[in-house]
Amino acid sequence: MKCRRAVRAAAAAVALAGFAVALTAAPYSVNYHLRSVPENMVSGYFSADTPPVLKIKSGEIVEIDTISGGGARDDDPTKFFKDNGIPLDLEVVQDILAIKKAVPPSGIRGHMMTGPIFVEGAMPGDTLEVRILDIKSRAPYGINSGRPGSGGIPDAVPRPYAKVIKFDLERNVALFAPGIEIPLRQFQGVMGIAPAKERGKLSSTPPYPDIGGNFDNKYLGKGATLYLPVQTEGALFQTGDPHAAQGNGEISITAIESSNTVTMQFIVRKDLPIKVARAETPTHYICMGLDVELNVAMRMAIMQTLEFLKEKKGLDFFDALALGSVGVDFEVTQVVDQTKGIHAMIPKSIFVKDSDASTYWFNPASGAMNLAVSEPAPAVVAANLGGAQ
Amino acid sequence: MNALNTRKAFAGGLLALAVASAAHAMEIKADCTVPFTPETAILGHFSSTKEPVATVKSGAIVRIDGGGGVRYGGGELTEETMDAWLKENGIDATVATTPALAETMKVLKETKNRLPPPPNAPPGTPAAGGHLLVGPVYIEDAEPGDSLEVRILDVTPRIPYGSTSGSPGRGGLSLGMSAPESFESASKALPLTPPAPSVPRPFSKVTLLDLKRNAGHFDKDIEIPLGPFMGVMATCPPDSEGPNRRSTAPGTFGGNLDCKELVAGSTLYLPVYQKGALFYTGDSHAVQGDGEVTGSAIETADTCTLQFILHKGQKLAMPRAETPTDYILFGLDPDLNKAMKQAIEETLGFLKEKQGLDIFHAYSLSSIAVDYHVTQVVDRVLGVHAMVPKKIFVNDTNTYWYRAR
Repeated sequence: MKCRRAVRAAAAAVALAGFAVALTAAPYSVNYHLRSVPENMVSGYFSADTPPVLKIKSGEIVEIDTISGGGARDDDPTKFFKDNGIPLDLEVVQDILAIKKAVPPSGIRGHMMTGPIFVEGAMPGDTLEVRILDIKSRAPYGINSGRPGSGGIPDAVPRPYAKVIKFDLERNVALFAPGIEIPLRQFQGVMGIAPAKERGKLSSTPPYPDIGGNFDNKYLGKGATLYLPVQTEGALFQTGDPHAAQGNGEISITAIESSNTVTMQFIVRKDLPIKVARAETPTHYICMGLDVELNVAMRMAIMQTLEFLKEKKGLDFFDALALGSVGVDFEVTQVVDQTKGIHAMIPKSIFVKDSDASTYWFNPASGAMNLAVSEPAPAVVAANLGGAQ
Repeated sequence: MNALNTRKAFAGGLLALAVASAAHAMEIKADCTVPFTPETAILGHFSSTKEPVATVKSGAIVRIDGGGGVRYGGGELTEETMDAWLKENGIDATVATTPALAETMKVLKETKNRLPPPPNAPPGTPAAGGHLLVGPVYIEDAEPGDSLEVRILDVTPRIPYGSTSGSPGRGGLSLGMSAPESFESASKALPLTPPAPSVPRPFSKVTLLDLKRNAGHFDKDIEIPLGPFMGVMATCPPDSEGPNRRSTAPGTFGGNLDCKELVAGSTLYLPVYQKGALFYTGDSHAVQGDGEVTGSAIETADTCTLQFILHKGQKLAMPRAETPTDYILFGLDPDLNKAMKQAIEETLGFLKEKQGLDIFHAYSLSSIAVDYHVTQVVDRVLGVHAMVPKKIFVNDTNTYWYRAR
């Protein structure tokens, strides 16, 4: 029931949002607008038992509002906005205040996420392809914070701090300090799906190789694609932890935490079984390694890269390892989410006989998007698993 | 070192060079050229007592030939066996037509600048090998406590191929294997990382280089754009590192940094520990990815053209680097976690010096605008480098010596 109500609410919101969509002349139309209102939020965890707030078909496009509630204190939530000259009547501020009031902490430490979205036809063994068609800041500010005992140099931060950073949204930059401007490059820190029922509620603080979540991977912004191995019927996708910009490493434990509206297309892939999440941009394939130990995360990223090169490009072990050494860049994703991350950037341009870049759904140079989705074929995998559901 | 001061001091005199450096090595006039010979070469270590191969003033441009490319399938290394190997691998070259190969073979056979086998080695063990290095270049007036700016004007492969090798127990796949308990990750992440496949046997893969198109032909479907750089660039290590420091692990003196950013157009800043700085270079690479996960890049033989600039009294504790677009800070440690931490601390120190940022601002900026990359995980001491984009400092004037085209 909750689900159907949410969809009706969303349909009304689409009508309202129509103006903005027309202005930006997006090469697609949005099927649903999922607002960051209290009844659409999940506080802190992923679970197969969370009732979906929206049901969609494979190929549909959802505009999702997400919030970053940093700064607003529980005892006096408006003070932060007043102190920093942020208008209280901004929609996102109203959302944050309503959520502070109406969404109690779940007892599981994690992020405030919008969702979950149930994608019809998604079954364990399938892959959920999440295309990020657009992502925009909802507020003209963000916050970066850190505290002793966590982050990349836990023993060297003398006291907790929270730095409010104003944006110039017209120029798409963050005004960090006199003489220092950071180009905004919005992405969602958390994008994940529900684990299998028996794993219970999983905190959104660490990222997981299969259900994803808090990757904090700066490349997962507009034009990127995330592939997640579905663990439970409908996938149950949630997103949150919106970021305006972040470096590889996210060393202080936060990015520029800020509220985003993200537009995503969800596609159920029966033809692309994976065990560990992968990603793709117009220019690169991304393989991920995750572990509490950075050394081990690095090894896992190497192994994922070898597996990818074997699967997709038919390279044998030695060639894959050699190519991993001379043509692939390994970067530190983040070192602050309990489970640390390393990602491998595999450039598409090195595969000179393939048309990997030109057949990708998004062409960043022209802005063109090819979002046509074929009907999923009758799923052998799903049929086999039918009895178990 | 304050990079800004550095640039102000030298920008004026080098405008002409900035134009020239976009072209190839041969067009840059060097003050001195160092060939690759048994006398100039040194294998696998740095010596504070080796006779300098050149003595130059601050500001001098030196062209240095590096060795490499001599791979053969065992047996005695002769011109015939080497030529046979080249033919087998489809390389259109012979020793007679390729000076770099002839020079490298001569060095391997004749150079006395190599360490004896370790004292506990069985009798008959040959003298130690290791990186093919050249040096030292003696910089006049350089003294401990100064720093040496090394501008990389050009790096060009001397042979039309390179090779990438790996062997069991080496490389990124053996990382963290001594700590299997860490698989019990706090996240109870599933699926758990399975034990890594080890490298089953030694291998060496040859990649042909097309220098005109600046591409490495990895195989018929894969081409890698070249980014030639010297894996090793070092000042002579401090006495505390011992008299003949092996070159495998990088250190505060630079050395085997294996940082793929140190291509033509970049600048490396190194602490000076010995009179004359005693600069060494070698370990020629045609291109490498961040991480260098097998343990080698596309290993080739390069000629590099470097300009040395001495900064008196500008003490450095760690190497730093600069490209036309980024400042680079390094972290070095056998544990990647600690290398990462040092790279962060180096970045905070740099941001304080350069921009006067307090720890909170520097830490914050490092989180949201600085990219941390894995430099290499294969040189015993592992590396992480921070890339601080210059463009975020919107009031700075670009006076860097090289403009990328």
